[in-house]
Amino acid sequence: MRFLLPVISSLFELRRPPVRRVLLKQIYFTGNEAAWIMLLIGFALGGIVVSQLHDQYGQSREAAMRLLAALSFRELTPLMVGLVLIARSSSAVASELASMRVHGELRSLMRYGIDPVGYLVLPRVLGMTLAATLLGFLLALSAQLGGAFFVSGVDATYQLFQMDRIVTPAMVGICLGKSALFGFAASTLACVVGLRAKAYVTEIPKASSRAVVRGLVLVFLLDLIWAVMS
Amino acid sequence: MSDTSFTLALDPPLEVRLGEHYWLVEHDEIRRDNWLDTLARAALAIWPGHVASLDGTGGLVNNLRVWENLILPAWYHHAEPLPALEDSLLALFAEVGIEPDGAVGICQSLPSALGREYRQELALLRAALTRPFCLIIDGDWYTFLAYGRGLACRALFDRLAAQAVIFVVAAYPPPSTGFQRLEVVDASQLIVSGTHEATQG
Repeated sequence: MRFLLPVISSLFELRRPPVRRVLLKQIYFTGNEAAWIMLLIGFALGGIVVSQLHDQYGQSREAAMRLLAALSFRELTPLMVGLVLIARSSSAVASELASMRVHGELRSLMRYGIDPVGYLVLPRVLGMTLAATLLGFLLALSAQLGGAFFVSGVDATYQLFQMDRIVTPAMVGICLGKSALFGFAASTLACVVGLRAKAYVTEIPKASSRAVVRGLVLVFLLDLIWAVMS
Repeated sequence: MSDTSFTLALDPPLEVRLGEHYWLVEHDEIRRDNWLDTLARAALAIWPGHVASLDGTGGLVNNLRVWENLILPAWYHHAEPLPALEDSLLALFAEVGIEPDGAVGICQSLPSALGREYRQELALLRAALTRPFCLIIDGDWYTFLAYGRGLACRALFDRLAAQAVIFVVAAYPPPSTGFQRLEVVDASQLIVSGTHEATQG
């Protein structure tokens, strides 16, 4: 919490053009570059889930699609986004910040009066949170698409037109909320780990590894807490 | 030298005027860095956005292109339009004898691809873009002015130095006259105690 307060109060820093530039770069690297991966994962995930439900457990196509929507929007998608984000971006952010600390770049920025929380942490946390939210929605939609193709083949159009009956606003809300929470948690942790690295070169890979391992634990714990609370 | 005096919130408070130069000899590297941080913080409280730091290695951010590094402090604090910053930057490159074509090549590279001397030179350009009222200088950077590319930067440095308060923290005494001596007393207090004599040329 002691770390989060400066992040929240530094939202004012977004008035500065370089901070907005870092934010846009973070959204690009975390969101845009991962979009194709998410589409593929989502498509495969939808296919896997409905083939299990339809072929192994004998569910009808409609039931399989309904279960897929419930599973994917409420649970699988946010979790998958969290995992991909941690693998791709958390490790990169932690090693980048640790490297800046090791090479004295943070110190130099501070001597110029550039706030490291406002310039480095805020745009990364905000960028990863926004990107996670959008990727969550994209992944859930592509999972439905994959599921529809796997249960109906080329006649998937009918299944897709049924989506407005299967997917409720609450499901979408949960998907977006959870994805945002996991993105926020993973990015904040990555920044903390990176900035707390000791000033040795050997700390850079350690910071990267720590961000991944602790990020995984944190995301699963948050998911468990969400499941228990709801 | 300006008549207006400014008081830096140090312990005890330090009264300075633009154009004055101070030199602190500190042999321990960690304490040297800490003093540079302390002086920068105190100066930033008086001249926010107009304090520049010249670090021994240049202090550029390795994952930003050189052009982004150079404009960062000025862009961050003053939000100047990018075309205006670009013009100022090209003028500064010309001042240190680098043609526009060469400047474009340097600006597009990453700092890690450049030698130490180039990085130190670029640190001076970055400082100049902020139109500094105070320069916080690491002794490792100051030696750069005595050789190689540093000689071409001397005129620019002198121009900046004439309008700014300069603090140098080094492991050695100043090589030229004109610096007031800073001294650490009781481990944490900084006082002015006369002037330094030149140790060489």
